[in-house]
Amino acid sequence: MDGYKHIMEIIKTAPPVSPPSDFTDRVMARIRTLDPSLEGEGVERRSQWSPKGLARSLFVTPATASECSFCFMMAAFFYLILGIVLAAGLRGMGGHLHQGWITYQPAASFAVAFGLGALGLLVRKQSLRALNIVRLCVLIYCGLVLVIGMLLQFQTQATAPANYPLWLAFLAGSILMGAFLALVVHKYRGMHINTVTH
Amino acid sequence: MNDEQDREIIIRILKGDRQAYAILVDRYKGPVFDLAYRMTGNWHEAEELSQETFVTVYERLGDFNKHKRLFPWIYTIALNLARNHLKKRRREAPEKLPPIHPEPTREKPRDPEQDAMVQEQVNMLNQRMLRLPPDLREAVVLRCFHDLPFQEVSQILNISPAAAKMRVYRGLEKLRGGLGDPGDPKGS
Repeated sequence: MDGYKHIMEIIKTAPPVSPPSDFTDRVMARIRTLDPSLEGEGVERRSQWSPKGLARSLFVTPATASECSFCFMMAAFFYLILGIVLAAGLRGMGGHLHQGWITYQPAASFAVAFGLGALGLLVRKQSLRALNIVRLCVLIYCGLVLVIGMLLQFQTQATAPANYPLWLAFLAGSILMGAFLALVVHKYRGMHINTVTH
Repeated sequence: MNDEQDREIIIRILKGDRQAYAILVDRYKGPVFDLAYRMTGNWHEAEELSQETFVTVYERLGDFNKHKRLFPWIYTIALNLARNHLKKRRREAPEKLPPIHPEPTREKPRDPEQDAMVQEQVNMLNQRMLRLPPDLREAVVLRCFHDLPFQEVSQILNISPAAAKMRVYRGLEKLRGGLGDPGDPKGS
């Protein structure tokens, strides 16, 4: 820019031009006359329900409490279905089952579904304390999944070694779900740290 | 301009708090209006374009990627509207240049003679700016009037940083021709 010092000096003496004092009011008045479908909740609904917007809100950063809560509700729904399937399956097996630990699985799934659903509701409170509790609970969930998974594997390794791939898939799925929920709540908390109540 | 605050305001707007948009308008109306004025050279057209920019931004806010910075996006919309406006104006009145509204100068000169000289130079600069092709004009406005780094200029204009640099220097070169620059090798 050295070769254009003279022009730059003239540019610096030219003051920025300012809009009229009522500019913002005029813009807002024009916005109020827009089609209602483009306003407020309409804008949100449009952005949420476009496939790209939905994918972004689910897998990148939840923008609102309801999006964050939705992730927890879906995880809860997964465990609810898992619990129902396990309960129905065990009932079908009748009294042939002797391993005590597996009879607790439906109840455990229902408990996790209930817990995740409760966390989903807690997120909607939009308070920092609630978000911290949710974050802690998700970490506990991840830890419990790991510990219980390891215990089950040690317990069943001798009797049913063929179950190893199935066990690994379940463990990895649960850990991934926990990691996803932890990421969701972490990002949401980071984005709203200045707007949620303390 | 705090990007994080912008993001929070956008979230509030998308959640239905329409009044929060006034905060964004207040924050960016100065640079957007200045940009529109430098592109059109007309105060009333600049006001109309700036208003149109903010209405368009509001309408498209649902499509804005919240992980990107807001102000380059607003600038891009403002420039697109300005380009369309200039094309339309050229079709309607091909030879006519808009009248230049004299601007007050930023610094107080020492005496009236110098005041008049500086004012004359600023007016001449504005006239020369309006004779630049729009692609060079927008690059000069962003880099020299708004002090944006080449990286951001290239991002707003959607060209490479090298191309942005080229446009700015070509614009300045053309401006220098008519301003009696002592550094101009052509001596005009």
